Amino acid sequence: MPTDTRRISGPEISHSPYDYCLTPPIDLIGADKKRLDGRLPAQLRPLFLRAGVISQARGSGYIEVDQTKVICAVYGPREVLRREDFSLKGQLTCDFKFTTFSCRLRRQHQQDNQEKDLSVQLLEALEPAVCLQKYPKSQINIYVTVLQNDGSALSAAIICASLALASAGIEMYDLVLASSVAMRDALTIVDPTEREEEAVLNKTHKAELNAGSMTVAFLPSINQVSAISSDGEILCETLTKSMRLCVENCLKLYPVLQQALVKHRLDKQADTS
Amino acid sequence: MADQYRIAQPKDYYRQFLEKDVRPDNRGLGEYRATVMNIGCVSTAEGSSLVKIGNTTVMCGIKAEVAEPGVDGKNGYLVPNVELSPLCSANFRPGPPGELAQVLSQNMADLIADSQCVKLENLCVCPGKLVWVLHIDLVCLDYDGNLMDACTLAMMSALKSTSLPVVTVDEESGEIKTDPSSRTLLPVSCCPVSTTLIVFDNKLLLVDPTSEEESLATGAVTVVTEGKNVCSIYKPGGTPLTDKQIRDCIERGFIRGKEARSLIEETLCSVDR
Repeated sequence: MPTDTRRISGPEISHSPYDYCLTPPIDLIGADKKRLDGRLPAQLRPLFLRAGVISQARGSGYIEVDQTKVICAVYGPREVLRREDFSLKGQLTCDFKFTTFSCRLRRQHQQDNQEKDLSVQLLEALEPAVCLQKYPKSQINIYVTVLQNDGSALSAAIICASLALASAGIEMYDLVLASSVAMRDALTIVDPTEREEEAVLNKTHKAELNAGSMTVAFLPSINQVSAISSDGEILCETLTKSMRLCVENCLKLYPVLQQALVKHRLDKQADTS
Repeated sequence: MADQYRIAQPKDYYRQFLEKDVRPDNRGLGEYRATVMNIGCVSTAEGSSLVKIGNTTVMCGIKAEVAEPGVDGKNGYLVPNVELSPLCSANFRPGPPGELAQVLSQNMADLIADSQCVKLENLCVCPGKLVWVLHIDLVCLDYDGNLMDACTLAMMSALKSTSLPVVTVDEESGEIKTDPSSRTLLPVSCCPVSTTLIVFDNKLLLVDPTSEEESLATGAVTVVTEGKNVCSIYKPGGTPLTDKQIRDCIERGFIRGKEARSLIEETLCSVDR
Protein backbone atom coordinates (compact mmCIF):
# COMPACT_ATOMS: atom_id res chain seq x y z
CA MET A 1 0.00 0.00 0.00
CA PRO A 2 1.40 3.42 -0.85
CA THR A 3 2.23 5.50 2.20
CA ASP A 4 0.12 8.55 2.86
CA THR A 5 2.45 11.49 3.42
CA ARG A 6 -0.32 13.94 4.20
CA ARG A 7 -1.55 12.14 7.27
CA ILE A 8 0.10 11.07 10.47
CA SER A 9 0.57 7.33 10.21
CA GLY A 10 0.77 4.67 12.88
CA PRO A 11 2.52 1.31 12.65
CA GLU A 12 2.13 -0.50 9.34
CA ILE A 13 0.38 -3.55 10.75
CA SER A 14 -2.15 -3.37 13.54
CA HIS A 15 -5.13 -5.50 14.48
CA SER A 16 -8.40 -4.91 16.18
CA PRO A 17 -8.39 -6.29 19.74
CA TYR A 18 -11.75 -7.90 18.98
CA ASP A 19 -10.04 -10.25 16.52
CA TYR A 20 -8.78 -12.15 19.57
CA CYS A 21 -12.08 -12.95 21.21
CA LEU A 22 -14.85 -15.28 20.16
CA THR A 23 -18.06 -13.76 18.94
CA PRO A 24 -20.73 -16.42 19.12
CA PRO A 25 -23.00 -16.66 16.09
CA ILE A 26 -26.32 -15.03 16.77
CA ASP A 27 -29.83 -16.26 16.22
CA LEU A 28 -31.84 -13.81 14.19
CA ILE A 29 -34.90 -14.59 16.19
CA GLY A 30 -35.21 -15.94 19.71
CA ALA A 31 -37.63 -18.45 21.20
CA ASP A 32 -40.01 -15.63 22.13
CA LYS A 33 -40.30 -14.58 18.46
CA LYS A 34 -38.32 -11.44 19.19
CA ARG A 35 -35.05 -10.18 17.76
CA LEU A 36 -31.84 -9.47 19.67
CA ASP A 37 -32.83 -5.90 20.46
CA GLY A 38 -36.34 -6.95 21.49
CA ARG A 39 -38.08 -5.93 18.29
CA LEU A 40 -40.65 -7.98 16.41
CA PRO A 41 -39.55 -9.07 12.89
CA ALA A 42 -41.71 -6.41 11.22
CA GLN A 43 -40.93 -3.62 13.64
CA LEU A 44 -38.99 -0.50 12.61
CA ARG A 45 -36.54 1.26 14.87
CA PRO A 46 -37.35 4.70 16.32
CA LEU A 47 -36.21 7.54 14.10
CA PHE A 48 -34.89 11.04 14.74
CA LEU A 49 -34.66 13.54 11.89
CA ARG A 50 -33.53 17.14 11.80
CA ALA A 51 -32.80 19.58 8.99
CA GLY A 52 -30.46 22.57 9.02
CA VAL A 53 -27.68 21.19 11.21
CA ILE A 54 -24.70 22.54 9.22
CA SER A 55 -24.48 26.32 9.11
CA GLN A 56 -22.12 26.49 6.12
CA ALA A 57 -24.13 24.24 3.81
CA ARG A 58 -27.01 25.27 1.60
CA GLY A 59 -29.04 22.43 3.06
CA SER A 60 -28.29 19.70 5.54
CA GLY A 61 -29.85 16.86 7.46
CA TYR A 62 -29.14 14.54 10.34
CA ILE A 63 -30.76 11.18 10.93
CA GLU A 64 -30.53 8.80 13.84
CA VAL A 65 -32.07 5.36 13.53
CA ASP A 66 -31.37 4.04 16.99
CA GLN A 67 -27.56 3.61 16.79
CA THR A 68 -27.14 4.40 13.08
CA LYS A 69 -26.18 8.07 12.78
CA VAL A 70 -25.81 9.81 9.44
CA ILE A 71 -25.16 13.46 8.59
CA CYS A 72 -25.54 14.97 5.14
CA ALA A 73 -24.75 18.33 3.53
CA VAL A 74 -25.87 19.74 0.19
CA TYR A 75 -23.85 22.42 -1.60
CA GLY A 76 -24.92 24.14 -4.76
CA PRO A 77 -26.15 24.66 -7.35
CA ARG A 78 -22.62 25.86 -8.09
CA GLU A 79 -20.57 26.18 -11.24
CA VAL A 80 -18.94 23.17 -12.82
CA LEU A 81 -15.22 23.20 -12.11
CA ARG A 82 -13.90 21.39 -15.17
CA ARG A 83 -14.82 22.36 -18.69
CA GLU A 84 -15.16 18.75 -19.82
CA ASP A 85 -17.99 18.28 -17.34
CA PHE A 86 -20.10 20.96 -19.00
CA SER A 87 -23.69 19.93 -19.56
CA LEU A 88 -26.96 21.72 -20.18
CA LYS A 89 -28.63 19.49 -17.64
CA GLY A 90 -27.73 19.96 -14.01
CA GLN A 91 -25.44 17.37 -12.44
CA LEU A 92 -25.80 15.62 -9.15
CA THR A 93 -22.79 14.18 -7.34
CA CYS A 94 -22.82 12.02 -4.24
CA ASP A 95 -19.97 11.32 -1.88
CA PHE A 96 -20.60 8.60 0.68
CA LYS A 97 -18.13 8.18 3.53
CA PHE A 98 -17.92 6.15 6.68
CA THR A 99 -15.91 7.84 9.42
CA THR A 100 -12.95 5.69 10.48
CA PHE A 101 -14.57 4.99 13.85
CA SER A 102 -18.11 4.33 12.62
CA CYS A 103 -17.93 0.54 12.37
CA ARG A 104 -16.82 -2.27 14.64
CA LEU A 105 -13.58 -2.58 12.68
CA ARG A 106 -11.64 0.58 11.87
CA ARG A 107 -12.01 1.97 8.36
CA GLN A 108 -9.41 3.75 6.27
CA HIS A 109 -9.40 7.45 5.43
CA GLN A 110 -9.53 6.90 1.67
CA GLN A 111 -12.80 5.94 0.10
CA ASP A 112 -12.91 2.16 -0.30
CA ASN A 113 -14.88 0.06 -2.77
CA GLN A 114 -17.92 -0.33 -0.57
CA GLU A 115 -18.14 3.42 -0.09
CA LYS A 116 -17.80 4.04 -3.82
CA ASP A 117 -20.52 1.50 -4.46
CA LEU A 118 -22.81 3.12 -1.91
CA SER A 119 -22.13 6.56 -3.43
CA VAL A 120 -23.43 5.31 -6.77
CA GLN A 121 -26.46 3.63 -5.21
CA LEU A 122 -27.31 6.81 -3.34
CA LEU A 123 -26.97 8.86 -6.52
CA GLU A 124 -29.22 6.48 -8.43
CA ALA A 125 -31.87 6.66 -5.75
CA LEU A 126 -31.90 10.47 -5.62
CA GLU A 127 -31.40 11.45 -9.26
CA PRO A 128 -34.93 10.59 -10.46
CA ALA A 129 -36.40 12.85 -7.78
CA VAL A 130 -34.45 16.03 -8.61
CA CYS A 131 -35.61 18.37 -11.40
CA LEU A 132 -32.16 18.55 -12.95
CA GLN A 133 -33.34 20.38 -16.08
CA LYS A 134 -33.96 23.41 -13.86
CA TYR A 135 -30.25 23.72 -13.07
CA PRO A 136 -28.42 24.00 -16.39
CA LYS A 137 -24.60 24.29 -16.42
CA SER A 138 -24.36 23.70 -12.69
CA GLN A 139 -23.78 20.95 -10.22
CA ILE A 140 -25.29 20.00 -6.90
CA ASN A 141 -23.01 18.20 -4.47
CA ILE A 142 -24.27 15.86 -1.80
CA TYR A 143 -21.88 14.78 0.93
CA VAL A 144 -22.94 12.01 3.26
CA THR A 145 -20.94 10.94 6.30
CA VAL A 146 -21.90 7.98 8.44
CA LEU A 147 -20.91 8.77 12.02
CA GLN A 148 -21.94 5.39 13.34
CA ASN A 149 -23.13 2.36 11.43
CA ASP A 150 -25.56 -0.02 13.02
CA GLY A 151 -27.14 -1.42 9.91
CA SER A 152 -29.40 0.00 7.17
CA ALA A 153 -26.90 2.81 6.57
CA LEU A 154 -27.90 3.18 2.91
CA SER A 155 -31.58 3.70 3.60
CA ALA A 156 -30.76 6.16 6.40
CA ALA A 157 -28.46 8.01 4.01
CA ILE A 158 -31.13 8.24 1.31
CA ILE A 159 -33.71 9.68 3.71
CA CYS A 160 -31.17 12.09 5.15
CA ALA A 161 -29.97 13.24 1.72
CA SER A 162 -33.48 13.83 0.45
CA LEU A 163 -34.22 15.90 3.55
CA ALA A 164 -31.03 17.90 2.97
CA LEU A 165 -31.91 18.47 -0.71
CA ALA A 166 -35.39 19.65 0.20
CA SER A 167 -34.11 21.95 2.95
CA ALA A 168 -31.64 23.44 0.44
CA GLY A 169 -34.59 24.46 -1.70
CA ILE A 170 -33.57 22.25 -4.63
CA GLU A 171 -36.60 21.61 -6.83
CA MET A 172 -37.74 18.01 -6.59
CA TYR A 173 -40.63 15.92 -7.84
CA ASP A 174 -40.98 14.29 -4.47
CA LEU A 175 -39.15 13.39 -1.30
CA VAL A 176 -37.27 10.09 -1.44
CA LEU A 177 -37.77 7.51 1.26
CA ALA A 178 -35.98 4.24 1.72
CA SER A 179 -36.30 1.08 3.69
CA SER A 180 -34.29 -2.11 4.10
CA VAL A 181 -35.14 -5.71 4.84
CA ALA A 182 -33.01 -8.76 5.44
CA MET A 183 -34.10 -12.30 4.63
CA ARG A 184 -33.01 -15.66 5.92
CA ASP A 185 -34.94 -18.73 4.75
CA ALA A 186 -38.61 -18.04 5.50
CA LEU A 187 -37.85 -15.25 7.91
CA THR A 188 -37.97 -11.58 6.85
CA ILE A 189 -36.81 -8.86 9.21
CA VAL A 190 -37.21 -5.15 8.52
CA ASP A 191 -34.65 -2.44 9.28
CA PRO A 192 -31.82 -4.88 10.17
CA THR A 193 -29.03 -3.91 12.55
CA GLU A 194 -25.40 -4.44 11.61
CA ARG A 195 -25.14 -7.78 13.40
CA GLU A 196 -28.28 -9.00 11.69
CA GLU A 197 -27.00 -7.89 8.29
CA GLU A 198 -23.79 -9.77 8.94
CA ALA A 199 -25.54 -12.91 10.17
CA VAL A 200 -27.76 -13.06 7.07
CA LEU A 201 -24.82 -13.00 4.68
CA ASN A 202 -22.77 -15.37 6.81
CA LYS A 203 -21.23 -17.89 4.42
CA THR A 204 -20.61 -20.69 6.92
CA HIS A 205 -24.28 -21.32 7.50
CA LYS A 206 -25.79 -22.52 4.24
CA ALA A 207 -29.27 -21.15 3.88
CA GLU A 208 -31.84 -23.28 2.10
CA LEU A 209 -34.10 -20.70 0.51
CA ASN A 210 -33.04 -17.10 0.89
CA ALA A 211 -30.07 -15.34 2.33
CA GLY A 212 -29.80 -11.69 1.53
CA SER A 213 -30.89 -8.15 2.08
CA MET A 214 -32.53 -5.50 -0.01
CA THR A 215 -33.04 -1.74 0.02
CA VAL A 216 -35.82 0.05 -1.82
CA ALA A 217 -36.01 3.80 -2.45
CA PHE A 218 -39.52 5.08 -3.04
CA LEU A 219 -41.21 8.35 -4.06
CA PRO A 220 -44.54 8.21 -2.22
CA SER A 221 -46.66 10.95 -3.77
CA ILE A 222 -45.93 9.94 -7.38
CA ASN A 223 -45.90 6.29 -6.35
CA GLN A 224 -42.65 5.32 -8.04
CA VAL A 225 -39.71 3.23 -6.98
CA SER A 226 -36.45 5.03 -7.75
CA ALA A 227 -33.94 2.36 -6.82
CA ILE A 228 -33.73 -1.25 -5.68
CA SER A 229 -30.60 -2.97 -4.60
CA SER A 230 -30.35 -6.48 -3.30
CA ASP A 231 -27.53 -8.61 -1.97
CA GLY A 232 -27.29 -12.36 -1.69
CA GLU A 233 -29.55 -15.11 -3.00
CA ILE A 234 -33.26 -14.46 -2.81
CA LEU A 235 -36.18 -16.28 -4.40
CA CYS A 236 -38.10 -14.21 -6.93
CA GLU A 237 -41.34 -14.61 -5.01
CA THR A 238 -39.76 -13.45 -1.76
CA LEU A 239 -38.20 -10.52 -3.57
CA THR A 240 -41.52 -9.11 -4.76
CA LYS A 241 -43.06 -9.73 -1.37
CA SER A 242 -40.26 -7.90 0.45
CA MET A 243 -40.40 -5.06 -2.02
CA ARG A 244 -44.02 -4.50 -1.14
CA LEU A 245 -43.06 -4.60 2.53
CA CYS A 246 -40.34 -1.98 1.95
CA VAL A 247 -42.77 0.32 0.14
CA GLU A 248 -45.23 0.01 3.03
CA ASN A 249 -42.49 0.92 5.48
CA CYS A 250 -41.50 3.91 3.37
CA LEU A 251 -45.07 5.17 3.53
CA LYS A 252 -44.95 4.89 7.33
CA LEU A 253 -41.89 7.16 7.40
CA TYR A 254 -43.28 9.75 4.98
CA PRO A 255 -45.06 11.88 7.63
CA VAL A 256 -41.89 11.93 9.78
CA LEU A 257 -39.88 13.40 6.92
CA GLN A 258 -42.58 15.92 6.10
CA GLN A 259 -42.76 16.99 9.72
CA ALA A 260 -38.99 17.49 9.95
CA LEU A 261 -39.13 19.69 6.86
CA VAL A 262 -42.05 21.77 8.12
CA LYS A 263 -40.30 22.24 11.46
CA HIS A 264 -37.17 23.42 9.65
CA ARG A 265 -39.20 26.01 7.67
CA LEU A 266 -40.93 27.30 10.79
CA ASP A 267 -37.63 27.58 12.68
CA LYS A 268 -36.14 29.52 9.80
CA GLN A 269 -39.09 31.90 9.68
CA ALA A 270 -38.90 32.45 13.42
CA ASP A 271 -35.20 33.29 13.06
CA THR A 272 -35.67 35.92 10.37
CA SER A 273 -38.66 37.66 11.93
CA MET B 1 -28.85 47.03 3.21
CA ALA B 2 -26.61 46.01 6.07
CA ASP B 3 -26.12 42.59 4.48
CA GLN B 4 -24.84 44.06 1.21
CA TYR B 5 -22.53 46.39 3.11
CA ARG B 6 -21.22 43.40 5.04
CA ILE B 7 -20.34 41.56 1.83
CA ALA B 8 -18.95 44.55 -0.08
CA GLN B 9 -16.97 46.20 2.74
CA PRO B 10 -16.50 43.56 5.44
CA LYS B 11 -13.62 45.39 7.14
CA ASP B 12 -15.48 48.68 7.43
CA TYR B 13 -18.53 46.81 8.61
CA TYR B 14 -16.54 45.18 11.39
CA ARG B 15 -14.77 48.43 12.30
CA GLN B 16 -18.07 50.14 13.00
CA PHE B 17 -18.97 47.42 15.48
CA LEU B 18 -15.53 47.10 17.04
CA GLU B 19 -15.37 50.86 17.76
CA LYS B 20 -18.17 50.22 20.23
CA ASP B 21 -16.37 47.16 21.68
CA VAL B 22 -18.89 44.68 20.35
CA ARG B 23 -18.89 42.17 17.49
CA PRO B 24 -21.61 41.72 14.84
CA ASP B 25 -22.81 38.54 16.58
CA ASN B 26 -23.34 40.50 19.83
CA ARG B 27 -20.23 39.18 21.55
CA GLY B 28 -17.66 41.25 23.40
CA LEU B 29 -14.08 41.16 22.07
CA GLY B 30 -12.94 38.63 24.66
CA GLU B 31 -16.05 36.52 24.70
CA TYR B 32 -16.33 32.89 23.61
CA ARG B 33 -19.29 31.48 21.75
CA ALA B 34 -21.48 29.02 23.64
CA THR B 35 -19.61 25.71 23.97
CA VAL B 36 -21.58 22.48 24.03
CA MET B 37 -20.11 19.04 24.59
CA ASN B 38 -21.35 15.49 24.39
CA ILE B 39 -19.20 12.57 25.45
CA GLY B 40 -19.53 8.92 24.43
CA CYS B 41 -21.83 9.58 21.47
CA VAL B 42 -20.39 6.85 19.21
CA SER B 43 -20.54 3.41 20.80
CA THR B 44 -18.45 1.71 18.08
CA ALA B 45 -15.44 3.81 19.15
CA GLU B 46 -13.46 3.19 22.36
CA GLY B 47 -13.77 6.89 23.18
CA SER B 48 -15.74 9.64 21.49
CA SER B 49 -17.00 13.16 21.89
CA LEU B 50 -18.77 15.92 20.02
CA VAL B 51 -17.87 19.55 20.61
CA LYS B 52 -19.73 22.59 19.36
CA ILE B 53 -18.30 26.10 19.72
CA GLY B 54 -21.05 28.26 18.27
CA ASN B 55 -21.66 26.72 14.87
CA THR B 56 -18.27 25.01 14.62
CA THR B 57 -18.75 21.28 15.19
CA VAL B 58 -16.03 18.67 15.61
CA MET B 59 -16.48 15.00 16.34
CA CYS B 60 -13.67 12.92 17.75
CA GLY B 61 -13.61 9.14 17.72
CA ILE B 62 -10.84 7.03 19.16
CA LYS B 63 -10.39 3.53 17.81
CA ALA B 64 -7.95 1.25 19.61
CA GLU B 65 -5.93 -1.42 17.86
CA VAL B 66 -3.02 -3.56 18.94
CA ALA B 67 0.35 -3.81 17.21
CA GLU B 68 3.91 -4.93 17.77
CA PRO B 69 6.02 -2.27 19.49
CA GLY B 70 8.92 -0.46 17.84
CA VAL B 71 12.56 -0.88 18.80
CA ASP B 72 12.12 0.49 22.35
CA GLY B 73 9.73 -2.36 23.07
CA LYS B 74 7.21 -0.65 25.30
CA ASN B 75 5.93 2.59 23.77
CA GLY B 76 2.46 2.63 22.26
CA TYR B 77 1.28 4.79 19.43
CA LEU B 78 -1.02 7.82 19.35
CA VAL B 79 -2.10 8.74 15.84
CA PRO B 80 -4.15 11.94 15.63
CA ASN B 81 -5.60 12.99 12.28
CA VAL B 82 -7.91 15.87 11.44
CA GLU B 83 -10.32 15.40 8.57
CA LEU B 84 -11.78 18.50 6.93
CA SER B 85 -14.33 16.82 4.72
CA PRO B 86 -16.17 18.72 1.95
CA LEU B 87 -19.22 18.28 4.16
CA CYS B 88 -18.21 21.01 6.59
CA SER B 89 -17.63 23.97 4.30
CA ALA B 90 -17.90 24.98 0.64
CA ASN B 91 -14.15 25.69 0.61
CA PHE B 92 -13.11 22.05 0.84
CA ARG B 93 -13.23 19.51 -1.96
CA PRO B 94 -13.04 15.73 -1.81
CA GLY B 95 -9.54 14.31 -1.94
CA PRO B 96 -6.45 14.06 0.24
CA PRO B 97 -6.18 16.41 3.25
CA GLY B 98 -5.31 20.01 2.44
CA GLU B 99 -2.77 22.28 4.09
CA LEU B 100 -5.02 23.34 6.95
CA ALA B 101 -5.93 19.76 7.84
CA GLN B 102 -2.25 18.74 7.82
CA VAL B 103 -1.29 21.66 10.05
CA LEU B 104 -4.07 20.84 12.50
CA SER B 105 -3.12 17.15 12.60
CA GLN B 106 0.47 18.07 13.40
CA ASN B 107 -0.69 20.57 16.03
CA MET B 108 -2.70 17.84 17.73
CA ALA B 109 0.30 15.47 17.67
CA ASP B 110 2.53 18.20 19.14
CA LEU B 111 -0.02 18.98 21.80
CA ILE B 112 -0.03 15.39 23.02
CA ALA B 113 3.76 15.15 22.90
CA ASP B 114 4.36 18.51 24.65
CA SER B 115 1.82 18.14 27.41
CA GLN B 116 2.49 14.42 28.02
CA CYS B 117 -1.21 14.03 28.80
CA VAL B 118 -1.11 10.38 27.71
CA LYS B 119 2.19 8.69 28.39
CA LEU B 120 3.21 6.25 25.69
CA GLU B 121 4.49 3.78 28.31
CA ASN B 122 0.93 3.50 29.60
CA LEU B 123 -0.13 2.08 26.25
CA CYS B 124 1.93 -1.06 26.70
CA VAL B 125 0.01 -4.35 26.85
CA CYS B 126 2.96 -6.74 27.12
CA PRO B 127 6.54 -5.40 26.98
CA GLY B 128 8.29 -6.33 23.76
CA LYS B 129 5.26 -8.08 22.37
CA LEU B 130 2.15 -5.94 22.17
CA VAL B 131 1.19 -2.28 22.54
CA TRP B 132 -1.91 -0.21 21.94
CA VAL B 133 -2.36 1.99 18.88
CA LEU B 134 -4.91 4.74 19.47
CA HIS B 135 -6.22 6.17 16.21
CA ILE B 136 -7.60 9.58 17.17
CA ASP B 137 -9.73 10.78 14.28
CA LEU B 138 -11.22 14.25 14.36
CA VAL B 139 -13.93 14.95 11.82
CA CYS B 140 -15.11 18.49 11.24
CA LEU B 141 -18.86 18.55 10.64
CA ASP B 142 -19.36 22.31 10.43
CA TYR B 143 -16.59 24.82 9.82
CA ASP B 144 -17.26 28.24 11.31
CA GLY B 145 -13.83 29.28 12.52
CA ASN B 146 -11.62 28.43 15.47
CA LEU B 147 -11.16 24.80 14.58
CA MET B 148 -8.02 24.50 16.70
CA ASP B 149 -9.87 25.05 19.99
CA ALA B 150 -12.73 22.78 18.99
CA CYS B 151 -10.27 20.04 17.99
CA THR B 152 -8.25 20.16 21.23
CA LEU B 153 -11.39 20.19 23.32
CA ALA B 154 -12.88 17.25 21.37
CA MET B 155 -9.64 15.29 21.50
CA MET B 156 -9.06 15.78 25.22
CA SER B 157 -12.63 14.95 26.19
CA ALA B 158 -12.58 11.84 23.98
CA LEU B 159 -9.27 10.71 25.48
CA LYS B 160 -10.65 11.20 28.98
CA SER B 161 -13.64 9.01 28.17
CA THR B 162 -11.63 6.26 26.45
CA SER B 163 -11.92 2.79 27.93
CA LEU B 164 -9.96 -0.14 26.55
CA PRO B 165 -10.92 -3.81 26.67
CA VAL B 166 -8.64 -6.01 28.74
CA VAL B 167 -6.09 -7.77 26.54
CA THR B 168 -3.72 -10.42 27.86
CA VAL B 169 -0.78 -12.15 26.23
CA ASP B 170 -0.01 -15.70 27.28
CA GLU B 171 3.60 -15.84 28.55
CA GLU B 172 4.50 -19.18 26.99
CA SER B 173 2.45 -19.57 23.84
CA GLY B 174 2.28 -15.85 23.03
CA GLU B 175 -1.41 -16.19 22.39
CA ILE B 176 -3.43 -12.99 22.57
CA LYS B 177 -6.78 -12.98 24.33
CA THR B 178 -9.33 -10.17 24.62
CA ASP B 179 -11.99 -9.89 27.23
CA PRO B 180 -14.48 -7.36 25.87
CA SER B 181 -16.70 -7.49 28.96
CA SER B 182 -14.16 -5.89 31.32
CA ARG B 183 -12.70 -2.51 30.44
CA THR B 184 -10.12 -0.17 31.90
CA LEU B 185 -10.06 3.62 31.64
CA LEU B 186 -7.17 5.18 29.76
CA PRO B 187 -4.99 7.13 32.22
CA VAL B 188 -4.92 10.80 31.20
CA SER B 189 -2.66 12.82 33.48
CA CYS B 190 -3.53 16.36 32.43
CA CYS B 191 -5.83 18.29 30.18
CA PRO B 192 -4.34 21.00 27.97
CA VAL B 193 -6.79 23.57 26.57
CA SER B 194 -6.09 25.89 23.66
CA THR B 195 -7.31 29.45 23.24
CA THR B 196 -7.18 31.13 19.84
CA LEU B 197 -7.19 34.88 19.26
CA ILE B 198 -6.96 36.79 16.02
CA VAL B 199 -5.53 40.23 15.39
CA PHE B 200 -7.83 42.66 13.62
CA ASP B 201 -6.42 45.76 11.88
CA ASN B 202 -2.99 45.07 13.41
CA LYS B 203 -4.11 46.13 16.88
CA LEU B 204 -7.35 44.61 18.22
CA LEU B 205 -7.41 41.10 19.69
CA LEU B 206 -10.55 39.04 19.15
CA VAL B 207 -11.08 35.79 21.02
CA ASP B 208 -12.67 32.72 19.34
CA PRO B 209 -12.97 33.95 15.74
CA THR B 210 -15.74 32.87 13.38
CA SER B 211 -14.73 31.88 9.85
CA GLU B 212 -15.63 35.39 8.63
CA GLU B 213 -13.39 36.97 11.26
CA GLU B 214 -10.59 34.52 10.41
CA SER B 215 -10.70 35.65 6.78
CA LEU B 216 -10.28 39.31 7.84
CA ALA B 217 -7.55 38.65 10.39
CA THR B 218 -4.05 40.05 10.04
CA GLY B 219 -2.61 37.47 12.41
CA ALA B 220 -3.52 34.74 14.86
CA VAL B 221 -2.13 33.34 18.07
CA THR B 222 -2.98 30.13 19.93
CA VAL B 223 -2.10 29.70 23.58
CA VAL B 224 -2.24 26.24 25.09
CA THR B 225 -2.51 26.16 28.86
CA GLU B 226 -2.47 23.32 31.33
CA GLY B 227 -3.45 24.12 34.91
CA LYS B 228 -1.22 27.05 35.90
CA ASN B 229 1.33 26.42 33.15
CA VAL B 230 1.62 27.51 29.56
CA CYS B 231 2.09 24.44 27.41
CA SER B 232 2.78 26.12 24.09
CA ILE B 233 2.23 29.32 22.15
CA TYR B 234 1.67 29.00 18.43
CA LYS B 235 1.86 32.13 16.35
CA PRO B 236 2.15 31.46 12.63
CA GLY B 237 3.43 34.78 11.23
CA GLY B 238 1.12 37.74 10.81
CA THR B 239 1.14 41.00 12.76
CA PRO B 240 3.91 41.23 15.36
CA LEU B 241 2.51 41.50 18.87
CA THR B 242 3.80 43.56 21.78
CA ASP B 243 4.86 42.11 25.09
CA LYS B 244 1.66 43.37 26.70
CA GLN B 245 -0.56 41.81 24.05
CA ILE B 246 1.08 38.42 24.41
CA ARG B 247 0.59 38.63 28.16
CA ASP B 248 -3.09 39.50 27.62
CA CYS B 249 -3.43 36.45 25.38
CA ILE B 250 -1.90 34.19 28.02
CA GLU B 251 -4.16 35.72 30.67
CA ARG B 252 -7.19 34.99 28.52
CA GLY B 253 -5.88 31.49 27.92
CA PHE B 254 -5.84 30.73 31.64
CA ILE B 255 -9.44 31.89 32.08
CA ARG B 256 -10.59 29.78 29.11
CA GLY B 257 -8.58 26.81 30.33
CA LYS B 258 -10.39 26.85 33.65
CA GLU B 259 -13.80 27.11 32.00
CA ALA B 260 -13.09 24.36 29.50
CA ARG B 261 -11.73 21.94 32.08
CA SER B 262 -14.75 22.36 34.32
CA LEU B 263 -16.98 21.81 31.27
CA ILE B 264 -15.21 18.52 30.52
CA GLU B 265 -15.45 17.40 34.15
CA GLU B 266 -19.14 18.30 34.33
CA THR B 267 -19.90 16.44 31.10
CA LEU B 268 -17.92 13.39 32.19
CA CYS B 269 -19.87 13.27 35.45
CA SER B 270 -23.24 13.63 33.76
CA VAL B 271 -22.61 10.79 31.29
CA ASP B 272 -22.55 7.34 32.83
CA ARG B 273 -20.00 5.04 31.31
